[in-house]
Amino acid sequence: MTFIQPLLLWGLPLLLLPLAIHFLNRLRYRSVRWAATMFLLLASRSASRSEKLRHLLLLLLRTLAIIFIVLALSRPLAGGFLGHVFRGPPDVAILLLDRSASMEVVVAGTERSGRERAVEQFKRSGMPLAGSTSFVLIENVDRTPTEVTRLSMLEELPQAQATDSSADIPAMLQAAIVHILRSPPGRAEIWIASDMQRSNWRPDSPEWDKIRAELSALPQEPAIRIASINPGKPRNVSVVFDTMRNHAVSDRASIILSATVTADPPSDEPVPLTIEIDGVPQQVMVNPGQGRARIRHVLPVAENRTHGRGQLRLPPDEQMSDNISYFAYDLTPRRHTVVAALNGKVRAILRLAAVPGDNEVRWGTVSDLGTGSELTTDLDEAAMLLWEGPFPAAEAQPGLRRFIESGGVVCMFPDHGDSGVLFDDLRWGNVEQAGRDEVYRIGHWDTQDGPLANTLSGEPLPVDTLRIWLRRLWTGDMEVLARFQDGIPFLGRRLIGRGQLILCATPPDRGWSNLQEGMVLVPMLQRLVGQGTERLGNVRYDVAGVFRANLGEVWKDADDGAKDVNSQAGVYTREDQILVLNRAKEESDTRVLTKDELETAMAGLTWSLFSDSAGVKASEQSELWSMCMIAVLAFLLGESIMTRPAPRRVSHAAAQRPQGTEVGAHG
Amino acid sequence: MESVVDRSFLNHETIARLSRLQVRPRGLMEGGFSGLHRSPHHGASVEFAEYRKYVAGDDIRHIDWRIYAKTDRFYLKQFEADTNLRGHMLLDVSASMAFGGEDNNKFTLARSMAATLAHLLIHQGDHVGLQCFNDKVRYDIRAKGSPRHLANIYDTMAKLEPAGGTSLVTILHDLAEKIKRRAMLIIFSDCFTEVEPLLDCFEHMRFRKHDLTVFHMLDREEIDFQFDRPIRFIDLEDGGAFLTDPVLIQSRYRNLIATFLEELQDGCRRHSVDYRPIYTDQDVETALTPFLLDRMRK
Repeated sequence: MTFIQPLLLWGLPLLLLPLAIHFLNRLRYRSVRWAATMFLLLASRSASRSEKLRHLLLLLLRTLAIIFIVLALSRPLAGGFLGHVFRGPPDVAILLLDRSASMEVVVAGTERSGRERAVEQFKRSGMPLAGSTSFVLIENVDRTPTEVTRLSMLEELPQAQATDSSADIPAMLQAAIVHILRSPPGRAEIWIASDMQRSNWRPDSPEWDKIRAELSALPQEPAIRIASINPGKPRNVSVVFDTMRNHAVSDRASIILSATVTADPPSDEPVPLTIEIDGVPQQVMVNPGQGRARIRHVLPVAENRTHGRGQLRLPPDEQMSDNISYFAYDLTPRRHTVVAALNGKVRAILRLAAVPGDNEVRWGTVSDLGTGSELTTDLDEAAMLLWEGPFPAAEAQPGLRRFIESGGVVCMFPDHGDSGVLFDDLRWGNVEQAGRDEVYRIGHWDTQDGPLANTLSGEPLPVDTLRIWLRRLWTGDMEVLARFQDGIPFLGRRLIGRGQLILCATPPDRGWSNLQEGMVLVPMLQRLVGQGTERLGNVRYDVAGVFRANLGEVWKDADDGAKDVNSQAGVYTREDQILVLNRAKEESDTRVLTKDELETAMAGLTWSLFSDSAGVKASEQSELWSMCMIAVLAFLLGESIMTRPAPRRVSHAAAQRPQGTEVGAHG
Repeated sequence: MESVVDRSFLNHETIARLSRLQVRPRGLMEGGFSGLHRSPHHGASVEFAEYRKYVAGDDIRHIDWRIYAKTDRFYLKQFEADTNLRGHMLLDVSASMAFGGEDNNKFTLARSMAATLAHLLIHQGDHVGLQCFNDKVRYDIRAKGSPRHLANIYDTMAKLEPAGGTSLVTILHDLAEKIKRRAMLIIFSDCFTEVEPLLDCFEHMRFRKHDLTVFHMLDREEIDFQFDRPIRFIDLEDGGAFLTDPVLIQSRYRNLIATFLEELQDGCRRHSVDYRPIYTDQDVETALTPFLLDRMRK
């Protein structure tokens, strides 16, 4: 047995009070001169053992009453049968509502979405407890506890409406734990309604260890009840916008749009995809025969337009929220590259690769920092920084980091000199030289995405034709985009904020490799500068449910609708800014949590499914204070019954009370 | 200089109010003088003596109707030799009678009652005697009827102090034998002794044809026995001490007292003893009035 208020157990010595009173009374006698001693002696002689026992029993009842009052105040907890018998309704039920995009799937056989069914489950289970239990709602977008004053109106709450966001169940549980810790002591239950999507539950996350430990450490571990809203496996085709970059075709502005169409289950049946730009739709047929199809489409931009928006649409199915994806473009920003290199020849090559043509509108501009010994140039107008040589000095690195975080791209190439340290962990390693008459070749690179992806027509870049005889590796944590045949990384990437840092193992230097020939270098840098240019435009991409409008910011739905910028996908405008929010990509991952994964996540916790008839697990603890108070009442009742004055035998003689008779009346 | 004799046990207002009542015996009396009370004696020596004016309560069988017809007044024929009452106040002065308040205990009430009855008896032309006893007879004043005799009784009462043990049964048996002529015996005692032997005394007295009245002097505290802490009881008569927790024995004690009172009352009823429980919270008037009225009705 444990106690919620164990300090109050220090009141137990109070039980010595009746004992002390009993013994002190025996010492504090007084003397009385008595006439009817014969009856006294007779009564004393015949005072039976039962009287003495009765007296002891009275003392015991009084002592037990004090013990149980102290216990009740200490709020004992017990599990097992005892806990189950005395378990009452919870004081508070914390409703964790998964209203992620995947919960909008209409459940097979019903006309209601998973979210609507989740709300119904909460209401059905909560209404019988409405008088004794308070309800708090925590949903996946804000994760802010909201008191539900009227459970019957749960579906009307803004916090229960549909979103295009994803859910983070561990984070929601953390929010519930914080709420319990901040609330007055009482028994809580946590009710979770979810479609059990694996990407939301993240069963492999180390956060579950912390959650289990925190829940177990609570003074009264809350029971967890889970409503598994299973939508079944409807046939679903979804589209996700991937990337977009400005492009020019015959000096006419256009945009290159990449998207992915997914079909579950895979189907050979082509799917019509409507691509609408600035209100002008066009349709392409997509065949997700292997379950997924990537498309890259060139969309001409109307003349005299510098910015606009569009959407990708699929025909309706059981899950509508993933049938539409949004995009926007802004042609105004110039592609501007800053080049700094110790080696003058490398610097020239890099300038040429960054701006291969004279058309500034199409190719952008470049500025030369020389050796870059002082990286003082304002990078605010730059989309990309190309750097060859040791890493920039420490005092320049904060500015560099800000540039990348704001969406800029930095691509660095090594030389023979000192490495320096970049961002505390990146260092150039030793220069390696290929053997005599040997070269290093690239063995693997990402052909679908990234700076070395295949061309629009699907042709691969001639990455495998690169011949490298000198390479310089790096140490530090980088995502590998391409590897040498021997597995050594050739091209690495670290995403920092909205931008990226690229490290290439060899510079465009004839003494190192044939990278300067341009067949790989130019498209690679063009793609990178295109990505960096996004930070200069007025278009910003983010994920629905992740983006948070600052206090006072008002984002208007570009479709003149009433969408919520904090939770719903769409295109929003604010002054000259365009914000594109798309549904969280992980919501398309239809894998659900397995039974074993759920049990592992809940290991050691008291949990059940709403469908379980057993409900309570034996380990659930319940407060016993009510049992203690019942016991106190019983003891006090027994004590009062035992101390009730015995009905006195009143003899006829003793009952006679003379009346105040007037003598004069009989005179 | 003559010392002032204590007469605080007399309440003249009470006596004045009670004087309208008479002390009447039950049954026949033997007295040496003419009085209010019927004599048990009959026969040739009994002859018409005189007429007496009728007073309320007289037996109407003896009304001479011819006198009434002539005079419109009621007169009784005194065919029998009406005689006076001999009353004896048997007053328990053992130490146990001192229980109660300092000024209002069993003894003081009993003494006041006895004094009042003595006054009534003398002034209605009867005789009264006083026997005071504890473990032996302390004072034995024979029954007489003069005012000087009453003063003597008062003087004796003034000297009384409850003390000593009780030999109630022995004393009463002795008195039953000693008082030979039929009389009205009024016992003032707390009767704290075995019931059966006491009833034997009463039976003895009744066998001697006495009109026996027992004023059972009690204090409520003795009956209620309400204590909330251990008490060291000290016996009033022998000084013996006894420490106990009254809570433990309260129920049993009360049952014993109740049984004692019931048995005593039942026994008195069986032996035609006029049993009257008197509590120290009563005054003389409320204690005596029912007794006097009951007697006047019979």
